[in-house]
Amino acid sequence: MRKLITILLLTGVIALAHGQDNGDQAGDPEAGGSSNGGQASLRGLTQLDVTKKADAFKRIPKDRSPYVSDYVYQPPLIPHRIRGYEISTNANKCLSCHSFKNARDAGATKISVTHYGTREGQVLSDVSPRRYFCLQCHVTQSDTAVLVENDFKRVDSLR
Amino acid sequence: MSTLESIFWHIIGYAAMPAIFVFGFIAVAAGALWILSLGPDRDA
Amino acid sequence: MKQLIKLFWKRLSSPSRAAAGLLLGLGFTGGILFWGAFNTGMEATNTEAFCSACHAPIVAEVRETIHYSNRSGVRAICSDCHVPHPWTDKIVRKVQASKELVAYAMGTINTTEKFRQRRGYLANREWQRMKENDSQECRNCHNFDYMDFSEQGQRSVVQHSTALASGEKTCVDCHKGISHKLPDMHGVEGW
Ligand code: HEC
Ligand code: HEC
Ligand code: HEC
Ligand code: HEC
Ligand code: HEC
Ligand code: HEC
Repeated sequence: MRKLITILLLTGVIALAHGQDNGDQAGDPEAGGSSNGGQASLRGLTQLDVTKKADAFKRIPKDRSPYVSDYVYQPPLIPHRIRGYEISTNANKCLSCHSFKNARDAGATKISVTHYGTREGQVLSDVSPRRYFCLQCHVTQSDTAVLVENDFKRVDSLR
Repeated sequence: MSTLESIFWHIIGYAAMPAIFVFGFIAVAAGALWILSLGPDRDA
Repeated sequence: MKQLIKLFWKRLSSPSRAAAGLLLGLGFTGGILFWGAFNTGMEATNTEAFCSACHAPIVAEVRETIHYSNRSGVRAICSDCHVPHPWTDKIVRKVQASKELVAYAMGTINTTEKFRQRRGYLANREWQRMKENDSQECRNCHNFDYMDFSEQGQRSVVQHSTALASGEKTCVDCHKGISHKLPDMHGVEGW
């Protein structure tokens, strides 16, 4: 019995000491114990309490021909720069070129009729509120390394 | 800006230019006379 | 007061005993000093610091735009776009700005709400002004004759070589909100 208690106590002390040890090591990536759990994310292997240096801004092509779609019903990618384009309750700069009314003068692609529909499929007389904030679905592109490897392939009909 | 307003501001604006010159002249003349009054024109 | 004016006139109209050179010299230096002071005043009321006294929210907006910071480091300040260069036009605009003093005293745009309300009206006045002078302020820096279309984007070239080149439209017709947030654009042509 005595032996057993000693062993139990000993393991307890060792476990405690070990725990203590781990605590000390937290924040020291070399030792394996770290505040990010060794997980690399888009921030890289950065400790939680460290602010990573910001990446350089990506360059967006000024103007190019439209991108080819990768799947059917894809919101087309924006083939031009959009810096400073205001989208607010007051004004929607995109629609000053892409609306049915202005597209011809601006030489831009008309928004499609789907932009006038509500969730229930009812067609409204003006752009639907759920399609007002263009950048929810349409985004610009820049030439950069892929963040996450993937083997996405275009649908057959677009290949 | 309405045409009327534009005409109004142009009249005032163009009137301001001679006014600037005249008042500028008066200010410089006053200064010059004061300096002269320290010198040869003391009794004038 | 009347006495003083009389004395002034008497001195002014009677010949001086000073040498002609001294008189001319006094007039000459006086003229330079006056003109220098006048222009310093004009410059001082053209600075951003001066405008920001009353237009602080707008000054903050401009900070995010291309005319505040860009790759070439050339800045356009408030007066570059809002005050004409030719001397007579500049004086007229400056005199007209005395109206802004009155509006300031009345507090037409002294709160965010009031400014928001009045913004459409003010922007319209500015568009109208630039339409009438064919966007002269923009052209002081951006000269159409020296635009290199091979360097511009496709969209720019298409518009600049047609509607702009023919004189059918002027800069502010297409470039509204180039350095400010826009007012409610309902009913504005082209929006
Ligand atoms: C100055 C006018 C103008 C403005 C403002 C503008 N665009 Fe465009 N956009 C164009 C033109 C012109 C094209 C067509 C380019 C071509 O076909 O070569 C285009 C193309 C596009 C396309 C690709 C269409 C296709 O069929 O592939 C999308 C998407 C797009 N724009 C979205 C936007 C969004 C979102 C905004 C607002 C952030 C915006 N645009 C603002 C002129 C404009
Ligand atoms: C909810 C997502 C969504 C939003 C928000 C949205 N779009 Fe789209 N857009 C799409 C999709 C999906 C397509 C492709 C299918 C289609 O034509 O409807 C599309 C197509 C387009 C096209 C190409 C149309 C054609 O005939 O090829 C243009 C141009 C466009 N959108 C512009 C805009 C503009 C400008 C806005 C903002 C006012 C906007 N979109 C907002 C999803 C969206
Ligand atoms: C004393 C305060 C004051 C100063 C300083 C001032 N403004 Fe204003 N400004 C106003 C007020 C108030 C209005 C609104 C007028 C109204 O409500 O009709 C205004 C209106 C304007 C407008 C609107 C267009 C118009 O015709 O009314 C412009 C443009 C403008 N100011 C530019 C400037 C610039 C550029 C400067 C600096 C060189 C400047 N202001 C300095 C008070 C000021
Ligand atoms: C003091 C000179 C000056 C004045 C006045 C001026 N600009 Fe500019 N503008 C510049 C400079 C500098 C650039 C940035 C050039 C660069 O580095 O790309 C620029 C850039 C631009 C751009 C390009 C925006 C972009 O995102 O690439 C437009 C559009 C423009 N100006 C329109 C205007 C209009 C419209 C006016 C008149 C209301 C005006 N400018 C008045 C100096 C000026
Ligand atoms: C008919 C419409 C129209 C007129 C008029 C017009 N522009 Fe533009 N401009 C555009 C469009 C569209 C673009 C490209 C989209 C954008 O930058 O928003 C553009 C782009 C620009 C650019 C950036 C060029 C580039 O590709 O880097 C400058 C600078 C510019 N405009 C200056 C001016 C000046 C200055 C005037 C007046 C002398 C003027 N624009 C008149 C439509 C116009
Ligand atoms: C690149 C040229 C440019 C510069 C720089 C500029 N403005 Fe403007 N400003 C405009 C144009 C164009 C308008 C007409 C409204 C619009 O298109 O946003 C305007 C409108 C205004 C108005 C009317 C109300 C409104 O918001 O539309 C005020 C006030 C004003 N500007 C003040 C200023 C002040 C203060 C500064 C300096 C911090 C400044 N502006 C810098 C071009 C410019």
